[in-house]
Amino acid sequence: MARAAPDAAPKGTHKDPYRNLGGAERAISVALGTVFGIAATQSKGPLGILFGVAGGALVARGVSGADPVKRLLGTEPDERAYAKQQGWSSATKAPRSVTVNASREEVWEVLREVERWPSFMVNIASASSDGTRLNFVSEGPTGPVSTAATIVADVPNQKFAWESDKGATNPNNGEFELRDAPGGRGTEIHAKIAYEPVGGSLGRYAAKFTQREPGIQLRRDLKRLKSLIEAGEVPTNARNRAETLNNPAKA
Amino acid sequence: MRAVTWHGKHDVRVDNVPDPEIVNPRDAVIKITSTAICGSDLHLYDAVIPTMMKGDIMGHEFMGEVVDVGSAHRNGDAVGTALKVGQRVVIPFTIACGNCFFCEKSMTSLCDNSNPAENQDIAETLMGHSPSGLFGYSHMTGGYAGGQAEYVRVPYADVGPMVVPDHLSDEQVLFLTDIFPTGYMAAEQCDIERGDTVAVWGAGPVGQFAIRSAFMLGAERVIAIDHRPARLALAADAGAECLNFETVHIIDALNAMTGGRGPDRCIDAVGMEAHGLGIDNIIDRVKVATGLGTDRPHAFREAIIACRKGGTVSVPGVYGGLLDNVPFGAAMNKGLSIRTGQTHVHRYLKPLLARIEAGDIDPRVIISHILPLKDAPMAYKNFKDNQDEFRKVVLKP
Repeated sequence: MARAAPDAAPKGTHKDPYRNLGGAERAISVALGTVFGIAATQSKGPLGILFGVAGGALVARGVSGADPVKRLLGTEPDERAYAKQQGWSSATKAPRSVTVNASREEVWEVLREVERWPSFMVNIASASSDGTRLNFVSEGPTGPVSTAATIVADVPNQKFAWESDKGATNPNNGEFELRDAPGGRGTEIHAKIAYEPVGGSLGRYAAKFTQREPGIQLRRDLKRLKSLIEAGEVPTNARNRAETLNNPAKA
Repeated sequence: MRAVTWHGKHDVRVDNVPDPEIVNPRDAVIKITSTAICGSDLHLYDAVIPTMMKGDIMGHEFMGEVVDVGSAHRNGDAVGTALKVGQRVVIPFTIACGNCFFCEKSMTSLCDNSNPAENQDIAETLMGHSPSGLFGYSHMTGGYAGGQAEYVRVPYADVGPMVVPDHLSDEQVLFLTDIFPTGYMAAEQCDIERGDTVAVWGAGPVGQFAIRSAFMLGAERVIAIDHRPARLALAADAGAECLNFETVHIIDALNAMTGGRGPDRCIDAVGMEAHGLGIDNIIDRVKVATGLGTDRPHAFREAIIACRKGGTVSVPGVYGGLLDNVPFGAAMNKGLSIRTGQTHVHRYLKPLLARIEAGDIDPRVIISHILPLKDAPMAYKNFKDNQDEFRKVVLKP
């Protein structure tokens, strides 16, 4: 067997292989396609053509074992694995990273003071921590949601992570890891937020639609944190102070 | 205050809008004394740049007087130079924080921070990474209010604005905000060597500055390509040899003028809305009109084919999206260097001010009209349709 290179892909970036169907799925696909094919020979006109094309596609799907649509719209392998590990019905896991032109100490100072999170995390209304416990209130698609969590990693200048308590209404785990960027280019923040979407994938799409999806928020929050540390303020295109009240950047 | 606002394709108006204020500590508010309409504003006027919204204030070439400053300017927290009320300043059209990786390398049009996080989503989806915020140039690049107005809020005002000396008029220094540095950077990126011939597609305002800058940087010859007689005449004033693409086979002419070598350096100062009725441009027009395409890169294609082997194609022209049928095989096989980018205006302010003070260049020659702000709708229409007469318009709020 050929030697395999170690997998450098970060968790959360894997996708299913092209041939992504199981034996049963393939058999059903071929059988259904054959039925369509027979129907096609019995029908005339556009309906016959339609049956023919659909039957052909299903047989090809079954024979090849590849379904590009499922691969595009279905769940991701890393997320399935994480859901299984956590005992969740499904998981959304968003890895995001940003490089800040500052030392790890400077980044940690702002990041670890959770009371400051609302100044750059637009979705967080308040946050507090007593060393081992983390509590925060976030704006969900349907209103404010409280999270009570245990701090599972708290290594100064390196790593901060939490896991929400068992039985939470919105199970979520998060992590910030700080690494030196190469060549003195500052600090890389590697952040992950994993959650059990309320209402499964449908709920996740609804959250994305209202821009309350934690993955989207995390991406923006990291940039605001970066701006706050680098430039001393969070940028806004607000023309005046009144506009900032409705501005997501709430400078 | 009154401001020029965007309302859709070929629909700009002068509206009354709320005055801007200081929002962040490093901000300043500028009372605008002069502002210009840029060729790239026509891309907004033609509604080919996505993410414009009704009521957006336009304009990214402007200067004026500081009327208010944020707390960082008063309490010593300024990152760059603190501004004072009453100072007369020119403001780069690219907004830059001065602190990030790119700003530290003086690549200010790539600033990481000036485009607000929620606006970066669109840019990242379309381009992979977000460029800096720009004044008055769509929400993809920040959604900032522009300077074709009586007042403007300037973020990171301790890094952008440069104080200008009183003995220079507005008209002498206004173009430091964009088109002079843009033309200059286009020529600088060519890495001009002794004996080089530089061909410039588009003799509009940026092309005019590119032509003059190419000579300043040592070009032996400059060839200007356009179809507007008045623009070509202005290029000839600067010493350029002129070609009208409506009546000349450009590739043949360029080869004949350069002993078959082709121009050593080619500057595309046209961008995404090329004029002319070449077959490729007609096809592009159909594609754009039917939503199947975004850009009409005729000048870029021609520059690649015309360019000398191992030469440089420098692109200050604005492109917005996806370019079809670009002869990249020619670019690769001829070993061309392609240089481009929004202008890193901040790095050129002081050196180019020195050029103006030394009399190396008089930016006033490109101005054709100085009009009150209220005439903006008429000025836009004419700048688009009557380019021979309306070469460059300066508005006075």
